[in-house]
Amino acid sequence: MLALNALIVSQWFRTGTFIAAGDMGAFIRRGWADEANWSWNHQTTGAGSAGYTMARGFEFILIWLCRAVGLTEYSAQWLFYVCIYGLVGFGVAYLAGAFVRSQPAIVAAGAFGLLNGFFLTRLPNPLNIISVGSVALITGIAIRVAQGRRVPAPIAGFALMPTSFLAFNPPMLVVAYAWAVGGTPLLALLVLGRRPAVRLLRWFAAATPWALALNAYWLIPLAQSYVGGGGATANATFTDPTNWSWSQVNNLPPNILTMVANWAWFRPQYLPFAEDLDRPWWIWIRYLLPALVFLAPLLAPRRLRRVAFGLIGLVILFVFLAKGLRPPFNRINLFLYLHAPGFWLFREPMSKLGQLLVSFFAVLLAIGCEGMLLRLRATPRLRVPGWSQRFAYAGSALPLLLVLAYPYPLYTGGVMPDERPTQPSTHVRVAQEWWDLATHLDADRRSGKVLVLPLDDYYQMPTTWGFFGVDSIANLLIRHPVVQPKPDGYFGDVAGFSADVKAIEAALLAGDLAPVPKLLDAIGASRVVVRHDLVRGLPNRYFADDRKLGAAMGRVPGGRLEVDGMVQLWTFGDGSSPTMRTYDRVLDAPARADAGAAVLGTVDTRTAIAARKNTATAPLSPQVDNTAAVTPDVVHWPVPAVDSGSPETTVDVRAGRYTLAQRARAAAVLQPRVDAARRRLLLIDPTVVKVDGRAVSTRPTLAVPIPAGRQLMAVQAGNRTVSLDGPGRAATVPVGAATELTLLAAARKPAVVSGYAAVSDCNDYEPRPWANLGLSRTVTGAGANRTIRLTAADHAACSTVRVSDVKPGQLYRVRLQYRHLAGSRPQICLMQSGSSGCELAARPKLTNGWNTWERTVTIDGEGDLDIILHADVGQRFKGSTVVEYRGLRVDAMEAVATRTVWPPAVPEVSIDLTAGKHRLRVDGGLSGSALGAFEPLEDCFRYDDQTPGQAGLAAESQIGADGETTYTLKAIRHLACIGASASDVGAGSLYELSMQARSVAVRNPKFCLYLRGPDLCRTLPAVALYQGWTRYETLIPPDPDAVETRLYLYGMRDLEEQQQSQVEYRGVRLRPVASASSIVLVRQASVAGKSAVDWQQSNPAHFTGTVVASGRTAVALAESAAPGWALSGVDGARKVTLQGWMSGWLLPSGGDVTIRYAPARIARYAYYLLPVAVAAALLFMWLTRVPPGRPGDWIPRHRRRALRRRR
Amino acid sequence: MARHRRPSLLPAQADRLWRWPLVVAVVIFAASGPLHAFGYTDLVYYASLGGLTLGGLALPLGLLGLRRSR
Repeated sequence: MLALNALIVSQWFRTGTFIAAGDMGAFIRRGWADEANWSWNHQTTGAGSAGYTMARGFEFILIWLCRAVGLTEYSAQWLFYVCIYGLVGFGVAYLAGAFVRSQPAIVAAGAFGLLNGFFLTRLPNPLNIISVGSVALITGIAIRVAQGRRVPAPIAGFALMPTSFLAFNPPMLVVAYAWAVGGTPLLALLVLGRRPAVRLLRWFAAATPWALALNAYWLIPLAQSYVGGGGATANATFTDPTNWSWSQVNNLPPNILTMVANWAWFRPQYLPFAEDLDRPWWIWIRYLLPALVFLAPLLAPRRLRRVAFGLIGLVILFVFLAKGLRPPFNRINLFLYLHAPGFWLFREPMSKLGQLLVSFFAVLLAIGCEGMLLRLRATPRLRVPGWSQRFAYAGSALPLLLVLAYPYPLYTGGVMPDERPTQPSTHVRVAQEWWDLATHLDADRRSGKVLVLPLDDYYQMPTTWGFFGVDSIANLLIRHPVVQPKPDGYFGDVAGFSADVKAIEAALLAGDLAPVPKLLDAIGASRVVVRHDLVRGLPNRYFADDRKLGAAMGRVPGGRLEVDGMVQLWTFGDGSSPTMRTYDRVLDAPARADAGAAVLGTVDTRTAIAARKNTATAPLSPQVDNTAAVTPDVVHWPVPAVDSGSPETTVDVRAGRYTLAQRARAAAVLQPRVDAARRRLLLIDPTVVKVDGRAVSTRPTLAVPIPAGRQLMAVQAGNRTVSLDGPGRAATVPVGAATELTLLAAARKPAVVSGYAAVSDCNDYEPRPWANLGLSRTVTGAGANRTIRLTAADHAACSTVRVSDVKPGQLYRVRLQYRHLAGSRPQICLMQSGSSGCELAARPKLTNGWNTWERTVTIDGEGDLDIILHADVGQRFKGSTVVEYRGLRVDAMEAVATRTVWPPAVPEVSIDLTAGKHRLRVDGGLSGSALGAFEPLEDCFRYDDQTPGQAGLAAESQIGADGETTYTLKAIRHLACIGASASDVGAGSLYELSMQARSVAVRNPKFCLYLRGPDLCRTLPAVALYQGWTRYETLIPPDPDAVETRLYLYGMRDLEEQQQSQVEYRGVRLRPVASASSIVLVRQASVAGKSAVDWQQSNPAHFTGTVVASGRTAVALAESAAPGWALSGVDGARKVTLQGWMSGWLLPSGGDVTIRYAPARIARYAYYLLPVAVAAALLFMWLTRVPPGRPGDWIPRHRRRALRRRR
Repeated sequence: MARHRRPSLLPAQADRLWRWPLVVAVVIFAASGPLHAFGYTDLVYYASLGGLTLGGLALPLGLLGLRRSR
């Protein structure tokens, strides 16, 4: 069995590569090694948290062993899989051996443990493997005990040790232990009877002390982590069982019975081999498994029939539970999810229950195998060796061999694919640059965290070196604490730390660089890694542009580039950041985490903040708090979005002199304006911060020289091009860090533009007489008022204007006005010669007034540029479409200057305020919603021929007394939707999407911010629970790749298509914030004296130091403020959380201090208990051993003991 | 006075009957393979439900039948 296991596992590996994909990172543990045995470490978060890394002790031992003999982590991973997959083979065979006697049957069960559909779909996740192996082993032991066989009690402790790994998937751990403690006695009761079950429970009582003593080393830190160990916050929430229904999509009974129920079965990017297994000539084999399993009771010898029936009963029950919310009887499952305590653990039921099904199936196969062998041996004709005997045995074994052969990717190695769509190979060689960087960093053992940028937008990230999965490489390799939050992982940082980290990246991207060193100090980081190994441009992924971050880091005051290349390393100060430090002044800061970060970016590094406790309950829907937060020391006001005018707020402050700063939340929004007299382009920030009506803070103007003799027509900043001679309000461009600014002037050679061509049918999808189509064009007026009216009764009337003789690289600006008179939406298509489609551009609006449309095109190849104007009916029998276009103008442009610009920093100012109320106001910013009017009702999911009316779709709008429009959407079938285009999204750098929504009947509201270009709904934070009118507010930066943004409001169908669902929306807005800055006021005060600390670290949980201070001071530890941290040595110390996350104490005076993480002591005792418990267990087993041979040969003492046990 | 109770016929009946539903279930599962290969996946779904139901029916009969020989 073990040889088969080693052979199978070896097929999965390629020399010099790790198996790594999805949730599984590279098998590197050197970054964790130093702190692995401590219950306070930096594995989960760089801020430090309670941890139970010692639960991975076996991995560290394997890596250490491999290193000791000159091998690497690559070999250690192979060895790891050999061990854990071997555990499965052994465990399942051991379990089967508790019931059956024949060796072929035991081997068959073990082989099925290794070769089954469950592992086919779950690999390379090691937790499933360990769980199946451990559970089977424990069940095998339990059944033997129940049968009255002698199993020393300490064995329970050793058998539970592998379950330490399951601590990293708490639901899996709970299920495994629930089965071990509750399930195995029930199984014994079911298949063996009451007395064996009682015998097992007695053995449990004897085994419990051993189990606890041998596993306390990881159980105690695990318990500490979950009961207030502190440092990290659990992200997992369970509010709605249907949230996980996607993972149950394939959990239909036939798939569960054949062990292939996995949501990824039809997703070749995850399971590329599934398609081959589904080929008709192979798929039939899959169903032999349930056939053989249900055959077992028929073949079973009489003594095993009860076992077989018991297991069949469990199989039927588990199949029912494993299907989750899939039919049939899904209401029962839903009831269990909602009402049965702990049932939410089965939110992905197949991964938990499937591992028990593997064991049950294996035992049933073994029973069937043994029964078959007994029958064959009992048949007189087959006792004689010969062809009959061979055929009979081979024929009987064939179905079982086919069942084992079915998941062939497991033994051919195909289960670890190298080629699959959109995903890299599962065999990963970690880029050498990361190893080198880690070596460089670890050469310096001084304290200081390492911040990794760009920040991940999801815990799985795509890299250029062939890995797409959990982004832990920096943490795995670097021995320093690594700050790299993992969104949507099991754990997150505390809000204060998270806000500080996000503020660093936001400041870098916005070009507001002064706060960066201060914020780095506030998170205890001395080094910043800017990585250039992430794959940019994947759909719906929004992480920062590493090129901009790299450029910005180059300008941060005090930063020094130490390592260049694929991973850049920037060092600050002397390269270290003290873990223990003092502060001379502590500010009373608001509870809001982003307020704390904004203050930290404004004050010096000798000043700390003590944020107030956040007593507000977490909202169940996303909300933006843009009220002014005021304390006696601080005012923080994130400038909100407004419908019109200027945002304003009143704050009540103490008298004093205040520092007023603008902290960037996003890129500055500047207005380009030509200063013709001085031949320069001015980029002006129109916002003015006023206090009590007096302008106090503005951004200096950025000036860019214009080449002589050129007339500027437009400016391109990043992806956005704006005209300088356009109609309407002044155009704006967001200017953040390292913004590429291109000045576009009229080309020396003007565009050659034809007149309107004759009308043609450009939607000729069927042959119809021309006369029936009613296609016509009418051209009236002249010059700028020259208007073309296109009319179509069916198909599409089009007229083309041709720009001739265009050259690659040339720029053309096309501007016109359009209006819709009847029928469908106007359509404007810019098509270059040789291209297969229109240039990507915003769709015209469906409004009757005149609208301006403008698009700048860069020519790709020689030829012509066609401007095709449409009147497209779109759908047959929809009715006539009439549209008009006027004032078509084509300008040839050329770039006359390109340079990288940075937004000028807003200088901090000092203002004197009297005690009392003061008015803060920001004038000159953007206002109003970018959303146009909602268009008529559409059917957004027409999956059959029913008309909107037949499908029960309806949309209504009603204006209330407060002037707000309420939109009502209804649907029985299909999907009711209304959409509104947002104009000129990109003019601002930060938008607030806000609305209120409620469910009136059947379904919850749903909406989509659709981005044309990427062609997807933008990922938005979700509403946890709709309760009546529910507020929804979120801040979003515009997507630079989107050419059009539309908001769709949906009315979803009744899932049973019986009733009409009804949802309502009101106050729907998409508004740019008036200023991308937050206004921060910090009261100035003189500092009584300076303080300092001379400190030492004994271990991750113990620090000592001597604080020197002339009076009151604050001492802090750059570790998360967990309840377990305690300071001793100075009387009167008061514990406080500093910088939003840091353990801190306010001291009345200096002195010698000791800071300890108290829970670490208990965890340490548990760790020391391990060798003692192992020695005691071995001694106990030696002392209570029985002599070899049969009981009849034993001395009376041993016989009596054996008899007692059997009773 | 010794009382002789007539043994119940139920376990004997159950012992005679439990095999049939299970045999049919096994045949159904085995036949599901070719059905799936020919694209009748809906039929396979219902067949598997039928197989499970028959297995569930055989279970009490089989357990009752075990009492016959006691």
